[in-house]
Amino acid sequence: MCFKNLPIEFDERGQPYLREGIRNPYTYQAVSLASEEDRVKELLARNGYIKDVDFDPVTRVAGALAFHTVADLKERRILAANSMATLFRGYEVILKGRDPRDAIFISSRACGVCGGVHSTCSSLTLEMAFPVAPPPLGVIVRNMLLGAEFLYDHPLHLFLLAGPDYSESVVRATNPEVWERAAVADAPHAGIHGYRTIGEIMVDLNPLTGKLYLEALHHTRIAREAYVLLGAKYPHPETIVPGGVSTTVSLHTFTEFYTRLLHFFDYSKKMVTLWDDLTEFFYAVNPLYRKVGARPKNLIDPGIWDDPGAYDATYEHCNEWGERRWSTPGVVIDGEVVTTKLQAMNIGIEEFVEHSYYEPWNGHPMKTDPLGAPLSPFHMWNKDTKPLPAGQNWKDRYSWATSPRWDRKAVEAGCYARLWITAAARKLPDSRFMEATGHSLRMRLPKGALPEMEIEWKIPQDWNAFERNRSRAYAQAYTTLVTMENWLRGLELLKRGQTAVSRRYELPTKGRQIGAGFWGAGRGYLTHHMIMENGAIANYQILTPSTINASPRDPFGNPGPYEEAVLSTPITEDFRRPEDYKGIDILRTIRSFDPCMPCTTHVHVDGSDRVVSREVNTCACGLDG
Amino acid sequence: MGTLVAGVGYRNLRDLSFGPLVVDRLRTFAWPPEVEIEDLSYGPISAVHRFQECPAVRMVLIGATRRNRVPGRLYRFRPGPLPSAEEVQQRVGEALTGVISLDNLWMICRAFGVLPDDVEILEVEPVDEGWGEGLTPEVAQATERAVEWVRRRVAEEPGPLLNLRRRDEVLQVLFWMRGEGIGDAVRPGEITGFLDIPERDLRRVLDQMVEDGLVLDHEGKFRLTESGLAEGRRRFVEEFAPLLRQGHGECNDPECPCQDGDPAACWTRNPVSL
Repeated sequence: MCFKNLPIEFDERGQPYLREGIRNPYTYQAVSLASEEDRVKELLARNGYIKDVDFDPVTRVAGALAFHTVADLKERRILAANSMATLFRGYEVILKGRDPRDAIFISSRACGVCGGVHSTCSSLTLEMAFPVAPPPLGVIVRNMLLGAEFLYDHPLHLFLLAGPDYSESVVRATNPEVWERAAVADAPHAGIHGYRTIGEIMVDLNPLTGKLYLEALHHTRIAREAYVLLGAKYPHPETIVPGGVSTTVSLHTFTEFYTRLLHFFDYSKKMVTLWDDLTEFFYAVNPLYRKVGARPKNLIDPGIWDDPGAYDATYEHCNEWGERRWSTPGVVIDGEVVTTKLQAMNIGIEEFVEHSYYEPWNGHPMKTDPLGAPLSPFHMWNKDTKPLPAGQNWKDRYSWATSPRWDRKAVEAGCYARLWITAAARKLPDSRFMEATGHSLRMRLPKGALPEMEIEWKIPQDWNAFERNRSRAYAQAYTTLVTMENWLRGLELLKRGQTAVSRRYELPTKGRQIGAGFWGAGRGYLTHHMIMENGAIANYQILTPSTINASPRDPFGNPGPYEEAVLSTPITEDFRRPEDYKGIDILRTIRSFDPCMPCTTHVHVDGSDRVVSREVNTCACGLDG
Repeated sequence: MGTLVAGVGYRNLRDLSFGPLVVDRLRTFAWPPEVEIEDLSYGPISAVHRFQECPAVRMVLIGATRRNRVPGRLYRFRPGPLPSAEEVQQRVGEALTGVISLDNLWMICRAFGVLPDDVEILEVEPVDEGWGEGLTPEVAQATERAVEWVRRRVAEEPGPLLNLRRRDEVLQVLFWMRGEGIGDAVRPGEITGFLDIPERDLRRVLDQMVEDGLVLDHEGKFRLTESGLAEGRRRFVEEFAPLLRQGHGECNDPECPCQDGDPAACWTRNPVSL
């Protein structure tokens, strides 16, 4: 029984049903935030050392995110936190009434970084609705493409976006005492990454000039080359189609792909050991760093990388094919995996808009999922996107992000959820390179210029900003090995002459069809939900990792993940006067989630259809309601 | 790559699609081989990767940027110095996460050392940056002006590589015409019969060659100087040497020493000397 708050139980066959005898099972009483707001205002008025600290925009994140905090600089703690997605994303509105095949290309524009994951997620959605399942090599190529996409994403986050927060230039300015110790602290893994001291690592994390920064930039190129060898184009690939991929692959393309992939064997070793050394150094210098960005161990992930022998694109079998994925789907609550079933994950999600710039919607057209399990009126299949631009008010509405919750709890999305659930659930397919132990994920990275190396990602005792980054480095190794597994399987298929990569489909032109894509981005969780009527899209809903993480308060008064993590962050920064305070602990916290606001929000409506060009992403598809 | 003419912008955001739409028009014209026309709206970091692989000697970047100037008017400028490292890093962050902008493009390319010295930006002041297809009438009018400007700038004021190639060809053709007895001193109209180059452009190349001491201009007829002759010979040999040699096992040159019974003395076995 995985639900504690939703009135859903499971019968002896594991089928979910609505608990009997509850008249309005999904109704709730929204909690007022007025008293909390008044308390903070009063503190601000009375105490000179309590300050409003705003980050608008939060830089080095994708798109428009602003963050409001109230900090007690004397007690060194955060009293209030509000995450604001400042732009509107209108894909749901754009897609209504269109040919469903357009969704692949339009939804891809939701992000200039991870357009491929949206294309793929959209294809999965259409595959379920049509229905059509790809041939084995089509699934394998899709997995390899997504692997290449993440091999780009992870170094980008660790060295170009979040990495500068740990660089010499930033640490020297915000915590000179930490820099002094770093300069002479030995790096335990010097033999692998080549840096004698932590200080040397920090110097090479300096933005624009640091060697680690530039090396990451170089590796993003290699990953992109790998992608386009199979997918032909990036961003916004045009080879992702329902029923597989429309590219032609051969032994030659596989060989070329491998020549790129093998770079990541050694690079993963370097990334993992660098972030291990950095993380342990910070913990040793000041144990308070374990609390920076800490929040409850509540995570969610739909899994990714299908098994061609299991995936049939149907909702009916989603629990079976979901659990056969290279990354196991599921939900972690208080550190424990409570489900690995895609259906349970799906029916437990609701989106609330009490503190968002959207009108609540009425109606409950889908009372059950396609298997007869209960479905909330706040589920994506029932959602109607109705923008409602309004003034900012902390106790009322303050963000264009919605508040997605699972079992009415704030859960966190990230590629580390992928590691966590896979490690704990022990459902990982047989692998030459990886083993899930129940408490860790052991990985054997093949020999490159560096010798073969075994690494182990352990489910962390503390869950915080540092562990998010450390896990991201391990996710690079994990992605490399999953991609390698798929490459080997693809090669076998090619040798056996099973070269088909797509299957024909018929576009339904009559009746009602339902689809869902359960997938993931470099940053974690991604789902698309669609209802089709008479050959056109009647409803299309995209739920991204940053919508989950950037969410404002929910109607139950619970903060979203960014807010929750910032609220528990101690202020470790060294400053003499309040005006010198830079907020590095808050920024490290927010950036550890790798926010991607273009996925979450897009075009500022502001009473018209005007946009700010620098604030929108590739193609910037947005539209006022 | 010689000259790159690139548009930057967002299709479907009204006037911000100016760069890509100008590029669409430019692609309908024939361009010299060293000129490439490209839509660079795929992200500054990917553009850095591209120019690391294939540097350009010269760039013309076209786009729309709001700078509160006269709406619909075209502005041409050369990019200035880089802003602070902090701002460049912010722009890298934006670029990595998908933001497309002309300023991000040139700043990031310059920061990573892949922007050539010779860069011109042609920019229109947008009227409407909202969602939708098609330009506003003011910016639509600027499209043809931009196309004409680029055609004049790039096709009529050849890039450095084009100039070099044309100079090579003129040297070779003057050397060849002299050798064939067509003439030591020839008029430009006689040269254009052998080269695919407009006479006006040829005059510009010849004037520069006069300045460089490679040809002499005598009442409108051009003749190679001594150094021009040496340069013309060298280029002609490099270009045509493979064609000047004989086929395997044969020599049909009656003057060749091998015709006297000494195969080892055959010119085809020795470096060509003209």
